[in-house]
Amino acid sequence: MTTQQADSATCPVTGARFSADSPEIATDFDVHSPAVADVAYERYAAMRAERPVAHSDLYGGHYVLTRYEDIHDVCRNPGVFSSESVNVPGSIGQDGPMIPIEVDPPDHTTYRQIITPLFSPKRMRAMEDHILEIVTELLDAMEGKEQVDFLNDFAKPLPTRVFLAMMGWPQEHAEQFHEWVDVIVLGVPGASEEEAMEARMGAAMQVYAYFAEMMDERDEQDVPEDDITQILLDGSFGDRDLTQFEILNILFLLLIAGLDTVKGALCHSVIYLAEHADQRHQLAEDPDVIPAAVEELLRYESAVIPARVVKEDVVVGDVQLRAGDKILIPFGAANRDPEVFEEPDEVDFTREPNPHLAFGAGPHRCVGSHLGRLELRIAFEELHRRFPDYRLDPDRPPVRHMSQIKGVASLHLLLGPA
Amino acid sequence: MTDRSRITIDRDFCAGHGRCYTLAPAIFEPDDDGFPVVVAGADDAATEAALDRARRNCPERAVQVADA
Repeated sequence: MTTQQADSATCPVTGARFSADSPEIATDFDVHSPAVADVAYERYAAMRAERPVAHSDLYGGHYVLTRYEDIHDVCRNPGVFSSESVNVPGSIGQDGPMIPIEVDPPDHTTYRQIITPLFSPKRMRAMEDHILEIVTELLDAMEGKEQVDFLNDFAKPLPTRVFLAMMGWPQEHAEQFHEWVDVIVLGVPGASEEEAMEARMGAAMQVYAYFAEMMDERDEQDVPEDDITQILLDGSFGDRDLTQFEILNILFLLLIAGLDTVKGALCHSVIYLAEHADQRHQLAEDPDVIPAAVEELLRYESAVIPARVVKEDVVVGDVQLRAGDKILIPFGAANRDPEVFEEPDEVDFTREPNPHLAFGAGPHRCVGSHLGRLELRIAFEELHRRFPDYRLDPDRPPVRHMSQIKGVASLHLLLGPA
Repeated sequence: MTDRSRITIDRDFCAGHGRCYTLAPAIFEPDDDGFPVVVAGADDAATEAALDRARRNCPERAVQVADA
């Protein structure tokens, strides 16, 4: 006969002490709540200390993991932690699985063999001059101004125009893309879950229609180009051609993963640097520091908060997870874990080592990581070379937002020394 | 001094982050898809330090240096 207390009963086989309905691990963390945006890292720290495998009843119920080791394990075990659905709630309006993130091995491996080379360091090096041109053009427009809307004048157009260039689509469509992506990623702030989903699905339909149009134009022109659209149109899965449905779902993922992520990283970094003149001046005076600064700022503010689906009963920490459970794995929580990063809430450009998970880990490692790093490096080099001094506009303080891509909804700067 | 033969990439875990060839470009180079290839060993204090940074910064812990 056991004398263990009910509240500390440990399963002798698995070591699990808690399950989804245990009050000891309950949290009300809401990844979509605007109220969380300014306190997300405090919330993660509290959860990590008290309930590193927490459970929320929101959005049909899901776990929230906050330890680096747990999130790292989840990323690297796609057989147990499937990415067949990476969103909470389960859809952002996509029609079919987003490829390749919402596909598990072995099919995932085949898709990645098509998509990974599109974003290889070699292809990215070939993009470098073009990215510099776009950055230069955007910064030229900021010259002579005392106030700038950094979000709309720089952080939004840069990744969108790079994306359009890589696709081989017209640059003047950038504005339309911003509207679509904002709705798909953010839903409709303040609206009900149902209204937000309806808006997302509407925007997604328009995106698919646009993609289909761009593909049709390619067929008519019959002009082979070395851009992503053409490579996918010519692409094959094993011994068959990629279907239009597959190509649309690849493009959809590239769109939502490639724009708001870079936008968020640019804005988060600039908010930090605006308030830390010494470190900002270091970037201006010694550009060799910038690659390390990019890594550290990516660690400090990691935008992506993906989900996974548990495929078999498994114990994480001391919690029993069941097949079918959804878990949220905020990369930003992993990257502030004091078990791995000393003084995790400090930005230290000399941090060593810095094995951050801003781009995830395992087979679903962000396929655009080389592009993201390149965009951030060039942006930081040019911005700080030309505008070594800027500060937050005290009359219009920055506004952060949540969603599964944590970001910034408003960022106004005053240029020049204070 | 770390001979090239002692440096390996664990292909089961390498996901092509590229930290190794960024931090230790004398030792690692990217292939066409962005996965690293070991091209040299470390033969002075600077490359030894770079190799150690590459090993410690790999998010997949896939850079391995065998004992001499």
